[in-house]
Amino acid sequence: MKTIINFIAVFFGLTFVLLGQTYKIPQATVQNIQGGQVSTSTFSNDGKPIIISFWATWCKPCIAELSSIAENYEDWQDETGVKLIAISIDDARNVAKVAPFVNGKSWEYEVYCDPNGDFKRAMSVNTVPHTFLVDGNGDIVWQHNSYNPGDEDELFKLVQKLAKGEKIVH
Amino acid sequence: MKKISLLACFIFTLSSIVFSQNDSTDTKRKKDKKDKEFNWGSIHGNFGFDAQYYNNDSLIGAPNVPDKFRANGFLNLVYTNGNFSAGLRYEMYLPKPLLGFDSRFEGQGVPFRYASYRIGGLEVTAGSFYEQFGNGLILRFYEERALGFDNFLDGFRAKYTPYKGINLTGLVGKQRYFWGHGAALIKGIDGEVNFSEIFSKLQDKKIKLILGGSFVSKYQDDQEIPNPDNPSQLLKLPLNVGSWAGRLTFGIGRFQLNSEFAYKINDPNRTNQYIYRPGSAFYLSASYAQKGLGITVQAKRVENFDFRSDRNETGNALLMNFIPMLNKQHTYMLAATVYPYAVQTNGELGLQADINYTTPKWLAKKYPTQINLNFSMVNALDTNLTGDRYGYTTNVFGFGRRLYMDANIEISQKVSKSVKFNLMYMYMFIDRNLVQGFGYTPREIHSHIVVADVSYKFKPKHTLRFEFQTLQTKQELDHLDDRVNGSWVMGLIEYTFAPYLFVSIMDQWNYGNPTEDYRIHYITGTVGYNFKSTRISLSYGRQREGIVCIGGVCRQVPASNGLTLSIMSSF
Repeated sequence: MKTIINFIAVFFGLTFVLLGQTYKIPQATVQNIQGGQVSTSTFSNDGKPIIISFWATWCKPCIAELSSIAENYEDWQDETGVKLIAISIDDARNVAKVAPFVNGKSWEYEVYCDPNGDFKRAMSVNTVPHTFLVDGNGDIVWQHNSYNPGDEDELFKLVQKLAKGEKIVH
Repeated sequence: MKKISLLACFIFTLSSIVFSQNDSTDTKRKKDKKDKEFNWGSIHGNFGFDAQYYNNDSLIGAPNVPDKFRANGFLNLVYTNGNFSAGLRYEMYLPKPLLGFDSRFEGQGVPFRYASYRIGGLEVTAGSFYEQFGNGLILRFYEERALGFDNFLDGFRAKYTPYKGINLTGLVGKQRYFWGHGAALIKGIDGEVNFSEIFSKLQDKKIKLILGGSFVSKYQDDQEIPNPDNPSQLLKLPLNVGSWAGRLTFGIGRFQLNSEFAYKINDPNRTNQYIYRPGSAFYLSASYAQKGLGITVQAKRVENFDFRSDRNETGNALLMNFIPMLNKQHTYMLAATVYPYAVQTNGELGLQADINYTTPKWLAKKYPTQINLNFSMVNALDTNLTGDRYGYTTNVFGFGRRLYMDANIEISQKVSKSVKFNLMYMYMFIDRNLVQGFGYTPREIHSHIVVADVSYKFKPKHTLRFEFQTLQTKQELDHLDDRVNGSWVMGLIEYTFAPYLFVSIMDQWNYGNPTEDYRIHYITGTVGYNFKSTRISLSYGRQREGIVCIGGVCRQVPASNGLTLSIMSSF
């Protein structure tokens, strides 16, 4: 029991110390949907904000989130120049279905596959959906786990702030 | 312990080198401009904690838990500074792992720790790491935390990119085995050439061509294992077991083809009853994609391909490879968990077709309709027993007994700004005895599943979601002792207040069970709170016994009744 309490205490201590910290997108290798290897260090959007969203073809809330964003994606892009990078964590079982799936849904996102979870681990993702917001300097400034209908409106408000050059406070 | 301290020394030395490098470049810069600060790098990570308090409940078959309270927890820390990174993971299972997790996890410690450095096209990692060659047919080290599955390699790995489009990987080490290591030493190399990156002409013609190959071997000391046919004799075991695989990705325009073939020399082990037959695995996927339409067709054949770093191990321990399942990964409760399929690594033939379609704008008016059609079937191999240590012979294209079949259609439609629904119908067939290894007498189950999932956003941040599911099947009157028998209904109501709060209540009811006492309601209530990247949830109720499968790997979960606390966070 003592160990468990210590463990939780250490966790909360760390969270408070580290929560305010921003960090750059970590380097890892992902696959583009043609199967070629791409380094995550090449992710950029000419100084404009990037949304990085971890998802999977079998994850219902992920699909709900990406579909809701897709409805307004053109407007979001026109207003803020934001780019959404969708990282599929589907493994060898479903990875071949990712490109047909994305096309079937008519999503206009930049899509990569992370079939063995290398980028997922580098970004400390527990479960999908997990969404990150990256500012124009490539710093991760905000993240959110899970999806509830309406979350996309909150996300867009933050993107608007970033596009205006305002700081996002944790 | 000695190893840990050695590694700690290594990490410390490496990091001091990195620091001093940054320091020297920084001091130079400081001399030039006095505005640069020393770079301390950054630390981030994640955390998970699940605790359960157990009630006695003999009706649902919950095992008695004398310690009443159990918890699993982990904390990952990753330190990054430029091209250097190091990390570790603390794990805890106290006083014992949660029900359903392997009891050999009991205890606490830091099993996972590594340091890695990149310089030019070279990346080296010492310590613990995950890896996959190609589709994973001969090598995949990965983690499925929810299943208690973790088979990372402890050792050394180098990755090298001598030229854009050419990637080489070499590794050596031993696999994680709970708090120790597996018996065999694993060595592997992999090479991949992406021709479309090397030759720009291919790119101009929209042709993609990637070729790859890998070789993996394991070495395990000799053992005294009696010959099952003649117990006075000992088996002559291969100490080195080698395997190789070749793969191809070819794409032209909207078509893409991906294929891999793997071969393994004779590897007598417990899962194949110590036969000397070599193994093979073949995987093929072809797809077509255009806006609004995606089609995938897949085929697979696996023969005698259970590959582990200990010839005596079974279950999920020390698996070195990954044989993908070829059926839809279902997420609706009754479709996914009542009669789940588990991959048969020692012999199966599978086919799958999957179509995704979105109605075009002119037809859909306001909101498009999205349709998914999926069909899959899996059969055993067509084999003839030889009666000797070679095991059997097979007909390469022959289909043996049917193990599983599934045909389903799913339709998603947004009706208005506030209402969305998802409907699914599915027909499923499974031979439970063959799939779960309970023997060769058929236990065939045909079932029809219907799901309706409606969500209603009644105020901008407030949503109600309803799920209704039913599974219709005949009663199995010769299995009256089974708590999973006959038809089911399931209902769920969920309320969410974005982005913070969710409350749900769910009931699964095996109303068609021929044993009246087993017509049990499994009711669970859950309350959860989300704050940015932290999620805390509390649930109370009954959990049905069954098999939980994620990504093709399954674990048996006993029934339980109690209070569960779950905390998850990333920082």
